[in-house]
Order: sequence, then structure tokens, then C-alpha cells
Amino acid sequence: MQQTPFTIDADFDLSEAAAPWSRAHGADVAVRRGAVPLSLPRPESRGVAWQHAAGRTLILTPCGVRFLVEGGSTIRYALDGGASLADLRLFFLGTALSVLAAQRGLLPLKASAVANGEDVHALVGMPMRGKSASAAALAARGYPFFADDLLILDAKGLDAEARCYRCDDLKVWPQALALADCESLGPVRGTSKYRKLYAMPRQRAARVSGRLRTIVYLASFKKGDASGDRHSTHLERLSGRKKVETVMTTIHSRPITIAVVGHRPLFQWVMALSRRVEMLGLTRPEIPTVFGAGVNRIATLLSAAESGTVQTRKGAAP
Amino acid sequence: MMRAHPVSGQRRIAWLASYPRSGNTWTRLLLANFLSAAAEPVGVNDIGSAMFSALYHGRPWFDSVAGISSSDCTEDEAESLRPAVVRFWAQEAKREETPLFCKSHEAYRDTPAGEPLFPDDVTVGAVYLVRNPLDVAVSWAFYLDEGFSHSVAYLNARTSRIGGAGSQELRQRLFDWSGHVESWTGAPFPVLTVRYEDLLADTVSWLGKIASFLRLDGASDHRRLEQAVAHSAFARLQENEDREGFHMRGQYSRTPFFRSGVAGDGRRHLSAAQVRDVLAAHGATMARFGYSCRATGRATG
Repeated sequence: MQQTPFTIDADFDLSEAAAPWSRAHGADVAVRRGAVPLSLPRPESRGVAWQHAAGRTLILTPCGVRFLVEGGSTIRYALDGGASLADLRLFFLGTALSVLAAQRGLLPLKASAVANGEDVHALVGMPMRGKSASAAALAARGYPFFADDLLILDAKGLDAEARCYRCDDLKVWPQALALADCESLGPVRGTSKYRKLYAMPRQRAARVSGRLRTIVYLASFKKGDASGDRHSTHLERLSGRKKVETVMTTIHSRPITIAVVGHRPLFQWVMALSRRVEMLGLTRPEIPTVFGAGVNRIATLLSAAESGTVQTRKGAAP
Repeated sequence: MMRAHPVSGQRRIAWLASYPRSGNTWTRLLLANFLSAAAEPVGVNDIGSAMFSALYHGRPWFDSVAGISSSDCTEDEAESLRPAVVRFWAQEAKREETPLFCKSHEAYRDTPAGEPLFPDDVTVGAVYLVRNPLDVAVSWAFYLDEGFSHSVAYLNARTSRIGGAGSQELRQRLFDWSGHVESWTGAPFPVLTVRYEDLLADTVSWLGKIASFLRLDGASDHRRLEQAVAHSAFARLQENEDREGFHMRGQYSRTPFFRSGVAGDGRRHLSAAQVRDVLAAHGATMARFGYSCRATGRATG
């Protein structure tokens, strides 16, 4: 079995986590520094930071890194305005790689993930809901860290299994280091104004791919819940329309991916994924003092998901 | 009376702006109920969908419109992109007659890139809510689950902000309370300034003025205004929050979002020294808006 769904020959060092994707010769994708336009002629669709036309996607990041992703096989990049290699790496392994994956018929999810053998469990949710920190904390509870930010799925094979791939390192906010029980490996970007840090989880999965088994949608009690006090957790099994809608919200760089793949094919992928994986919604307090209890609850939940014994009921945090 | 620009082309954003805890959410509910004109009240958790509104500081909204993740950006980078984000939102929106509503607690100011954070070219106008800062200090303290000294210091600091890196909301710079008020009342587009206390005392009349300012259909329909006000009655909102919860409740707050809503809480809770601190910092602006500058608080009655 191919280890990664495609290989990359880049003229800069990819991160350690992305090393399995790297090939010096004969790679599927070439990544080179070069001329990147500021706009595309006659874009079919566009957003504030991107344009798409005729199989080409232009990404304009606010830090001065620009990418032109073409035909699923080449990426040209330019660095303007003091953008650094660290900035390039961050946006390459996130937005640019997700767009490349979409161009190649793969489904990019915005998710952190942990593994247990061949099984992968993804953590998804709105921004700043503790996906990365929870994945890192689970790594200290027997679930090796698998992926951060981007999880790439083999969309065409979803009828058989939800095979997924990882490519990026763990990134957490400084205040989450202690909560997540991991060590800082240094700043993510080349500016002191950006505070996120690369971090080393207690355990990392050796494998680069796995079978996506569970998606856990993380929400927080900050948003109010009549069903209990603010120190409890609430679990529900998502199904039907709610499940599909929730998966749609977890697509990486969603407006760009929709433009690249098209609404209908993307919806069909999401439907197939929804049939293939278990999806659970976990609402938990957002209060740091009970973060660990919430992670314990997730660990219990993943164990139950693996044995098919998930009980969807409100549970007090230990 | 001054009116907002008509909705036209990409000029379609109505800003609902205020310092935090000054009646912004209640006003959004009043407008949502007015616009829906339905027999059933709009739920407290359904404001956004009922009136097609956005939270200008919301990361999910920013990420979905921008196409890149705000958490990959520095605070300055994200902030400098926000005018383009709201401009794009205005251009792409299919709604043609009623404004798009955008809530903000930020001061009117420029981005780090030197562009107005609230771009004039997409703006029909702003409804700016101002509330007695003594009452704001009390409400803000309950919302944050902090002491009154903390909230008074917050109102008095030029560097006050909410959200930002590591938070679920983008960075929002507030200035101090007076700076906030002066920034919005001096904005270069039509601004209807509404005192929270006036809105509380004669809600139907002031909702009508807001609707008229925004050129909303039915602005003079008294029955429609009365129904919207009844649907947004404070007791009803409290009951709704108690039953369903409310997504805008403070992260650490131990009191409901719709806690009191009354005018005059400040002098009942703040000490005389705390009142004096607020008056020293904001007396001139308070006087401009008709708020008493009498230096009495809880300790002195």
C-alpha cells in the first residue's frame, strides 16, 4: 500500500511530520519558488484571500506568502514583505496543501487527531475549541498524537474505508502547553507577534495513515446549556442531517475547497464519510481547571467507540 | 431626523455598535423581532439567522469569508484583513433591500494597515448605544465574574481590549469608555446615538426611531413595534435563557447574560470611591449625554 496518497518534491525543508511525503526525485507534486501573480484572469470564484480559475488556485496570505496551486501537480510560491520560511511552512502545510489535496480528489478536514493502532479519531470543532490541546493531552493518556490542523482523506475510497493521512506537527497556544502536557519546540512563525508554538506531545503515532473511525465534535458550555451545570460534559451521537452538516463545517479551507471540488461532489464525499464514521458531539466546560476532566471524558469515549459501547448521556466530569 | 444611507450596491452594512454591556444584544433582539414580525418571538439563540447578522469579531465568520484561518495570522494581520472581509460579505450577500447587520463592541478606529476598520463604502449607518458607565461597570463585572474595581479599571484604561490570540474572538480594541463613545459619535457615516436608558424607558418609540433611521419597512407600524417590544421583554429573555441557555453568556460568569437590565445599578453596587474614579475619567462625556455626575455610590447612598 502506498504510504501517502501523493509525494512532494519541495525546494525547502518540509517539517519532520511531513517527511514521509517528501521525495527528491519523481514526486507527484513539485513545489518551487517562482513568480506568482497577484490575481488570476477571469476567476470563476474568489474570496478575500484566494481566487480560483481553470484548475488553478491562487492563495494570498496576509503575511506575504503567495501560492499558485495548479492541476494538483505543481505549487509555485513567492515570499513578499518579509515573509519567512516559517511562515511559508505554516501556510504550505495548511491552506496550500489542503487546496492541493482537493485538486487531487482528496478531502481535506480541519481536524486534530489521535491514533490507536490502525484506528484514527479526529477532533473537530469551531476555532479555539481546544482541538490541538485535546489531541496532545490524549497523547498523555494512551492515544498517540496523529495529526494537527489538516487531516487528508481518500475521498474516492470512502465506500470501502475512510483512509486518512497526516502531514503536520502539533501547534498549541502557550497557555495550553501545561494543560496539554507537552513541551515547546519553538515558535511557529518568524514573528514574535504570533504566539503559537510547535510542541512535542508525549506520544506520536509512527504511522502516516490510518482508518478514520470516529469524529468528535468539540463544543463548549460557554455557549450556555440548559441541561446542566457548567462543570459537566454532555455527549450526543450525531446522525442524519446534523451529522452531514457538521462534517461540512469541518472541511479545511472550506470556501476554497468548495470552489475546487464543486458543491455536489463535495456533498457526496461528505455523505459517504458520514456513512463510514461514527460522529459524536461533546460539549464540555471551557474552564482551564476542568480541562483535564474533559480530556478524560474524551479518552473514555474513544475507548467506548472502539468497542462499540458509546453511551450518549450527560456525564459529570470526574 | 438624520437617516442612514439607503441600501444600494455594496453599501449595505448597518453597524450595531456599543461598549460591552450597553444593550447591544437586546437591541439586536428588538430588531430581529421587528424584522420577523412573527407571532412567535425570536429565540435568544436565533438572533443571527433571524436578522441576517454577523458578529464582526467572530472567528468562524472571518474564517468562512476569508478562506484562511485567523488562527494562522497575527492579530495585526487578521485585523488588517477585516475591512476586506466585511466588504466581500457585503458584495456577496444576496439580500437586497434590508441592511446586513454587523454587531461590534470595538471603538471606531483604523486597522494597523491604516484603513478604517469599519469601512465607509459598505456602510449605510450605525446605531450606537450608550449607557451610563456606572451601570456598565456593574454589568461588566458580573459578566466577567470579576470585582467592580476590575471593571472600573477596565472602563478607564485606554488599552482595554477583548478577544485576540488564543481566544474564540478576534482582537477588539475598546479604548476607555469615553474614547469609545467619542470614536463612534465622530464616525464619518450617519450614526444614530441611542441612550440605553431612553430605550428602556420608551422602547416602542425608540425602536421606531431606530427602524426609521435604518429605513426599515414598517417603521411607523405601531402594532408591529409593540409586538417586537413584547417579544423582547426582559422577563421573556430571562426565561428563554434559563430554559435554553444563551451562547453569548460570559465564559466565567455565574450570573445569567440577561441579569438585570435596569438603569441605576451602578450607584447601588459601586462604592463612592469607585464612582469617583469613573467620574474623574468620564465626567465630561457623561455630562454630554445627560448622566448625573453626582459622586455618590453604595457607601454614601
